[in-house]
This record gives sequence, structure tokens and C-alpha cells, in this order.
Amino acid sequence: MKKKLLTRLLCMVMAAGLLSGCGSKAADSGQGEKTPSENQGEEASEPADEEPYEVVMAYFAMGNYADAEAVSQEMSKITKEKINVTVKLMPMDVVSFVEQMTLMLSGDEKLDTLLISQNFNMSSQIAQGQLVDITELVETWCPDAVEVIGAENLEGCKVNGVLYGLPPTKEYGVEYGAVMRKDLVEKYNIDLDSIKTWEDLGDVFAVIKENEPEVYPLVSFDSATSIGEMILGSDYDLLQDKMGVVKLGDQNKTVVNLFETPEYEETLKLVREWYQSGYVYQDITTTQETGSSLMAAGKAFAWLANMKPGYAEQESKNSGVELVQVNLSEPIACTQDVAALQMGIARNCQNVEKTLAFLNLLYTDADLMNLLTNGIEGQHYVLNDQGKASLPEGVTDSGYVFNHWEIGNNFITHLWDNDVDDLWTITEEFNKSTKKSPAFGLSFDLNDVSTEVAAVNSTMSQYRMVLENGTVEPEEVLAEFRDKLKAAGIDAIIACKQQQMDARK
Amino acid sequence: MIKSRKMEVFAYIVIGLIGISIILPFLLLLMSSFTDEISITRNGYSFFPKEFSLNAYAYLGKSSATIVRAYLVSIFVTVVGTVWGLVMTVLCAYPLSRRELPGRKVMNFYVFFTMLFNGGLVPTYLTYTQYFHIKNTIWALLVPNILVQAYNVMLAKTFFQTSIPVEVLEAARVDGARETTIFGKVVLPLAKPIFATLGLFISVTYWNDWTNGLIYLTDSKLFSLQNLLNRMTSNIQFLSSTSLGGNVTAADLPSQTVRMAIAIIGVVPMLAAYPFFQKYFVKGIALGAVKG
Amino acid sequence: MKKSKFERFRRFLPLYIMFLPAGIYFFINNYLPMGGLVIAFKKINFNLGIWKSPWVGLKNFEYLFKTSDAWIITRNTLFYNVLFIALNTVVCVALAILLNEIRNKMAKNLLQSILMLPYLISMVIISYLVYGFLSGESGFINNTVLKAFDMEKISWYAQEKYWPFILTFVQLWKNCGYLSIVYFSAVVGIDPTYYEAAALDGATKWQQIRHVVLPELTSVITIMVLLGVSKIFYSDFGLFYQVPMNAGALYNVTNTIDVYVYNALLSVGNISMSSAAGFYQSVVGFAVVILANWMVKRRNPDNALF
Repeated sequence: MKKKLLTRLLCMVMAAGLLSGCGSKAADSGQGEKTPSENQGEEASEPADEEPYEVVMAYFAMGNYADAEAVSQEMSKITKEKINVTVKLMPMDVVSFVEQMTLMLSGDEKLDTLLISQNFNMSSQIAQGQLVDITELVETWCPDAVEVIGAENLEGCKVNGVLYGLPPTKEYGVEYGAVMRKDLVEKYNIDLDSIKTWEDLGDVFAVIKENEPEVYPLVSFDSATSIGEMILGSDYDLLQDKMGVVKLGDQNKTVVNLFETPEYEETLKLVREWYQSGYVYQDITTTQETGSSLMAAGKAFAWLANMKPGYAEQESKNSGVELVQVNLSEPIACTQDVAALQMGIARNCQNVEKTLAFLNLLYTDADLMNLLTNGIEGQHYVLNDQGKASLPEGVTDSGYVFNHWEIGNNFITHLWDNDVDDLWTITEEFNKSTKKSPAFGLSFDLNDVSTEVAAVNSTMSQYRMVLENGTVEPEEVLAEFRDKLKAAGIDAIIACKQQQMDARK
Repeated sequence: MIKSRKMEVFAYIVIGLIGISIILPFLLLLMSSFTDEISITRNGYSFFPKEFSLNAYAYLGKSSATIVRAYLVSIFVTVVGTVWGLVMTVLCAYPLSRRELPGRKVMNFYVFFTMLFNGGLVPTYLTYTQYFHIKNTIWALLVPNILVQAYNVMLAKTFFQTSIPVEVLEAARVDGARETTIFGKVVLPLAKPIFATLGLFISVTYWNDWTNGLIYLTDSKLFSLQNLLNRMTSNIQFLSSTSLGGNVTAADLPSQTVRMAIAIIGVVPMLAAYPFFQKYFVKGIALGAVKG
Repeated sequence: MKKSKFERFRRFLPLYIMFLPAGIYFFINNYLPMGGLVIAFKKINFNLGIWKSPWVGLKNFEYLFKTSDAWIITRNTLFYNVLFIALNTVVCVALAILLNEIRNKMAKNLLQSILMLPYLISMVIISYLVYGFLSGESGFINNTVLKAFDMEKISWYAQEKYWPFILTFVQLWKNCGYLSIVYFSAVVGIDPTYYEAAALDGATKWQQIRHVVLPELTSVITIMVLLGVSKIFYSDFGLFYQVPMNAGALYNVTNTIDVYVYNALLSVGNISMSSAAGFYQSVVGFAVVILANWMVKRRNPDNALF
């Protein structure tokens, strides 16, 4: 018995199959290099009784998704009839999602389509050959999706000219500004229209500081976003990672070092002034409290935000305090606003075409999308007279909670009863009104400078928050920060980005 | 040991002070789990909360079915894993402790080397999932990385070396006892404190482990308590630190006080199991006395 | 001669068989995947497979030294490890001896349980606890203690001078129960006749500890120190990242190798680069422990790790 086991183990090592095996198997079946011609036109000639292909779809979810299997079955009914595909939803919570994608994409596990994002290691997945190039396949298999998303937007999702995924429809842009407590705004007769610049906010904060000693005029939305970042975002396209940025309106598309710009210095000075005047929540960089919980506790007056249509309403709901919104920039669209989340095809996928056809359905089939985003009607939601969804009576903890912004065409799904009326129309209008960043439509590939990216990341995590929240004196610290960024090689990253920008011009 | 009264009083004072420094933070943990969320934000952490609240536990109560299930998984894994791991660790460590065993040095090094080097996350994952197919099985919580740990083997080896006198082994050998007999009749009875110590460490490892669940489970039915708690905590954390936006309402998710409540329900069972191990510490002492 | 060797082998055969299950386990769990160490030297492309992916030499290691803080990071890692090893040993051996002095069984059991308490909870929870005490706005110390003495609030998370002490304290707080149990079980294993002999010779309490207890503990202490030394290039990520809340102002005293790697690769997620970091830490630890082990071996081969 023991001998047998040992022999087996030895065989495994000798075959050296362990590590090369997983790779070569995948290469044999040729995913990732499938040419579109191979399977073209198959759809029409397909025999009706063929085994349906199961599409496994992995994405992250928050809240309860215990009924995902039941929803999968309902979705499969639709997809089986339309494209002979069954669906298996694989929702995961955020932490395990990132980990699982690294692991599943290393082996041969069944996985067809997954949520990809620059925030979730997408560039490594590309460099490691884990995602399928769908640049040309989408024309054939996802014509509807391409139309809904828009060619220009889709262009922005390409990395080095290659498309790996399809973004959902949602707001494709942000406007920078602040949300404030409505009751205090009214109490002190603050004229919101007179607030035109970030500096103007200081005067408002002064009023609050003076009259409401218990309230901090300015907090941050959460400990991951800084005050300075919000101010700077209205001036610069931060190009996703803030390493090398482009000034909005700069038609030469020059990539510059944000931390060396005069605007950065001015912003730090302004925020520092606010901090020292006691306008800013003193624990801002380390607090475990979110902006909305401070708001709920009556300790906060405002936070700065990058907003979308309906933001103030949404946050009022979250914090239970009525908020008003002040816009300090026009709607801006950067690449990240479109390309942040996409559904990509895994190298493990055995049938890229079918999977794409399924993704395409998510942009046209309202019943399918409603199942995915809202669950099963009657069980997870009911529709009211205005056609808006709400939880069925007596249900407090639905077995299927999903966030309708990750995947597919959200504009064809039901609104919830606490959404703004016409949210989708407003959002579409908003998307049309955005001013595009000069760098719009380019996702960067920084794999050649990954050493520098790593070192710069670490440096930024040391300095950015404290500087941009005003907790330290910028004079000395900023110089130190700049030196360290130089040493870490930020210039190489900027050069790399500039090169990709120029190549596209 | 020959005890002295003065020394004992000194011991009480020192350990007592340390004990207080340990208890106080736990008390704060306990009290804040019973505090109203908004009250913490407003008045700060306190041993005597101004607004008492059971909201945190009520929130957890909403998913009580899942939590009970996760408890059962954790208890099963901890019990089975501890017994299994303990047996393998002891069996591995005992030969290494025998100075006269030929090849002992090589074996020792073989074990020690694993403390520092392994293939890393991805290769280990591929080995376990592609050859042993443990993904989404209970084995995933029992076997990878924690079943036998080189660290514990080294510890056990040293215990054997120090607490089982060479003379006892020699004597048994001269009497013509076989190695199996020596181990069963002489070593095992003497080694109870070793078992208790190791068993305690191994069970804490199993109870607190969430990485295996994170790596090898996508099916939440098999989640252990730590996986579940970790998931709850990380979801809050992610929500409060992302601006990916969307229609997630922070009000739906727990925050500070629930984290405290989570910590409490995670610790209590281990605390309850502790006296079980302690029994054997005492026995070890008694045995030592008999021996003298 | 040959026969006696065979005889010896046969005699010890049961011992080899006992070793086998764990031996096989280590083989599967550690040695089988160890080929994966090459990942650190390659640019991985999963379509080619790990073996066939191109070699890139030491490129994946570069980022570890690319920062001008490389020195600070290495210094912190080493400094804290050495400090922790020394402090833990002294404090926990003392605790174990003191614990053994207590005669009342109930009290002894109770105190032991209390000491073990922090070992049962994770660093994440501990970081919330520390935050509960130190938070500038809502922390217990600022809100209650300093207020009671009419003292200014202290921004704990902004002043690096406090943190070497806070981190050391938290570390000790968490680990001393565990380590003192290790030493305690060695103390109770000491043959009581030794004390009696010493007492008959008129040895004082202190002399008994020095001449009976400590020598008996030497081998356990040595092993624990060696095990600690082998991890000298690792640091407890939870302690150095979560407990200080990753506060930028504290980096000079909290940035260790593991924290650096985490921050550097957070959004990169490059498995080659993260294996490179692990490999670097292991190799250094290995070199140091080989040296330490050699030194121990020269004095007393029985106490050595291997």
C-alpha cells in the first residue's frame, strides 16, 4: 500500500508533469490562440440536440448569494433555448475572488468568463497569458454588446490594442464636488451657488467650525480616498494609478509627474490649511469610520467625492442624513470610468464563441439581466405599480443580493423602489454630457516597468495619504516624497506611458 | 520543585499584573461589542458604554443558520485535524529524537528544510487540486500546510529529548524490549504533557485557520467559522474602502461593533476547550513526581 | 559487520515506519511543489506552462532593492526580530518558572488560561483592540485616561517615536502565553530529584533556578531561538501592517519586508515577484540558521536543529 503510493508519487515527479502539464494541456486545446475563422458560422449549422455548453461565470458579490444556484437554473432556461448554453454563476466575496482568480487561472479548472479589473491584477493576468484576446471575436459574436457599449468606449478598454473584456453599461464618468448636510446648509443660509472653487469651500467650513463645535466640517468618504485626490481629480486624468498623469484639456497628451506639478503643491497647501484650522477630521488617515457613519453620528458636515447621477440621494440613504450635492467640476470621463470592470474570457474556457454569445445576451435580454441582477421575481423581488422592484413582503434577508453595476447592460433592468425615477435615462444623458479626458480610450500596459511600479506603489502608500489629507507639513515631506519617487523609478513609468500614448495618437 | 512562600507571592503579583493587562483589552472588546454603533463614533470606546445595545449580535443572529453550520464545520475539522495531526507529528518527532538512529541527521534536515522552503501558493495549489482533487472537499480544510508542521515536529523532538531520560530507554533496551514496545510502554505514558502542549497548539492552528478555506473552497457550504467571519469582516472592509461605487448600502453591512462581536464568538469555543488540555499538564506534573 | 548493520536497521525499522507518514506528507506538501521555486526566476506565461516560460534571471528580485528605503526595511525586519527573540525568551522563561511556583491548582490553571487568551485571537482583531485604545478621536486612552488627567490628546498614529514600544508590547502580549506554555511544559518535566539534591546542598531559590532549571531548559531555549532565527527575514504582517493601520507617518519604524512586498504588489499581483520575495526571505533565513546551527553544534550537538 505504502509502496504503491510512493511509486505513484515518484511517477508524478519524474513525469515532471506537474508544472508543465497544466500549461501544455491548455496550450494543446489551443485556447487563447483560437482564430475566429475556426468556428465561424457554426451557430447556424448547429444540431439542435447537441449537449448544451455550460458557461461558468465568476465575479465578486457582496451580501447574501445563497440562492445563486436557483438563479443559475432560471437563467439557463433562457440561454438554453436561445443559444444552447447553460449558466453556472460563481459569485464570491471580494477577498476570495482575487485569490481564486489567481489560482483558478493557473490550473485547468472549469472557468469561462470572469470579472476583470485593473484593481484585480488584470495586467498580470494579461502578461501571464490568462485572458483570451477577443478583439476580433466580438464583432462576430457580440454585435449587440458592441453597439450598446459604443465603439469609442470599447476602444478604451483595449490594452496595447487588444480587447480582453466587455464593460457593463453604467455611468461612464464622474463629476467632482462635495456632499453636505442639508439641515446645516439651511440653518446657516449657505448659498451653494456661490461655491465655485475648492477654495470657496473653506469659507463654508469656517462657518460650521465656528457654530457647531461638535461637528467636523470635512471628513473623507473612506480611509482609502484622500481629500487631495478629489481636488486633483478635477484637474488631471489620474490614469488609474496616479503614476504619471495627463492634465485635462492638454491636447498634446503629455504624461507628467503629478507629484511635481504646481497644482499638487497648491492642493497640499490648501488641505493643510484646512487641517490646521481644524476643519478636517483629525483621525482622517487611520480612522475605521466611514464618512457615512460619521455623518450618521452627527460628527461630520461634508466630504468630497467623485460623484455620479443620484449620488447625494444614494448617500443620504446610506447615512440616514439628508445630503445636498455641490458640483465643482463638469462631468469628466476618463478611461477608468469605462474600463474599471469588464467581463473577460478565461484561458480555461473550452468554447470561447458560446461564452461570448452568452455575454452578448446580457446586453439585450432584459429577462436574463433581471435574473442576474435582481434574482427571481416573486422570490427575491416583486414589482410595484411603477414597475420598480422591492423586496417581497415579509422578506428581510433576501437569498440573492447582487449589485447591478458590475456586469452587462444595466439599463434594461428594473429599478428599485428607492432609486431615483428615470435613473437610467439620467445616466445615459450624463454619459453623453461628459467631457472626455485627452487620454480617454487607452488602458496602459505597465508590465515592462513592473519593478518600478512596485517600488512606486510602496512609496505612495507611505506618503500620499498623510500629505493629501493635510496631516503633515508639506514643505519638507513633499521634497522627501519626490526624491523617493525618483529613486523608485517613476520617470521610467511616465516614459512608458508616454510611449504608449504617442503610439496611439 | 521545592517551593518557597516568598517566591510564590512574587509569582502571584507578576503573573497577576500580566493577567490584568491581558484581561482589560478583552473587557474592552466585550463591552464594545455590546455598545451602540453610533455611540462609539460619538463617545468613543469605553468600559462603561453609555448606550448599551445588542444590535451587533442581532445582526449576526440574522445569519445564525450559516454561523451554526460554520461552527459545526470548525469543530469537526479541529477535532479530526488535531487528533490526526498530533499522531503524525508525534510519530515523526520521536524517531528524530533518538540519537542512535542511523540517518537521523538527514531526516532531521528533510523536515527542517520544509520550514523555510516550499513551492509557494500556486504550485502547492496545483498539486493539491490536480492530483488530489481536494478542492471543495473537507480534506481541503484538514490537509494542506497545517496537518504536520515542521515547527511542531522540531518542538516535539526537543521535548522527547529533554523529558524522556536516555537511561530509561537504555534500561528498556537492555531488558530486550523491541522499539515498538519501548514506544508504547515507556515513551507514550511519559509523553502526555507533550501531547497536551502540541494538541493545544495544533487545535488553535486548526481553529484559527482561514487560508485553506480561502484557497481551496469556493463552495460556502463548507466554510469554517473563521472563513465565514473573515468573509463578513472583509466585506465590510472592502465596502468602506472602495469607491467602485454602485448601489450597495453601507447600512446593510455591519461595522465596528460587529467586528468585536465576531471576535467574541470566534474565541469562546476555544476558551471552553482549554481546560481539557490543562488536565494533562497536571498529569504530567504528577507523573514527574512519581518518577522521582 | 555487514550483518550487524542489517540487524541495526531491522531493529530500527519500526522507527523508520513511524517517520514515514509525515515524511510522505512533507514530500507532497513541500517537496513536490518545490519545483515552483523557478517561478521566481521566470516571466510566467500560463499558455506555455511554468517550465517553458522564459527565464528572466534576477529581474523579479529587483523591486526589492529598487527603493531607497531598502535599508530601513531590512533594518526594521532584523531589529524587531532580534529584539523579539531576546525579549520573548527572557520574559517567557521567567513566566514559566514563576508559573511553576504557584501551588494552588485552580489559580495556576486560571492564570495559564488567561495568558493563553491573546494567542487565540488574530492580529486583525488585535489591531481593532489597539485602535480602541489609541484612536485619536474615539480611543480609550485619549478619551478617558488623558482626559481624566487633563492632558492633551496624543495622535498616536502620527508619531513614530511610540511605535517601537507599542509594537513590542503587542507582540509580547500576543505571544508570551504561547511561549511560556512551551517553557512551562519543559519546566514541569524536570526531574524533582535534581531540586532535592540541590536543596540538600543548601542552594537558595535563585541558585536552584540557575543551576538546575536553566541548564535543563537550555535545549528547549536553543531550539526555540534557532526556530526564531530561521524566520529572521520574515515579519508578522498583521503586526506591522494592520496594528499601525498602515499609517504613512509611521513607516520609518513599521515598514518591514512583508509590508513592503504587500504594498508594492497590491495592485500588481505578479506571482513571480511575490515568489521572488519569499525566496529571498527563505534563502537569507536559511543562511543565518545554518550559521547559528553550526555554532550551537560546536558547543553541544544535541541541541542543534539538525
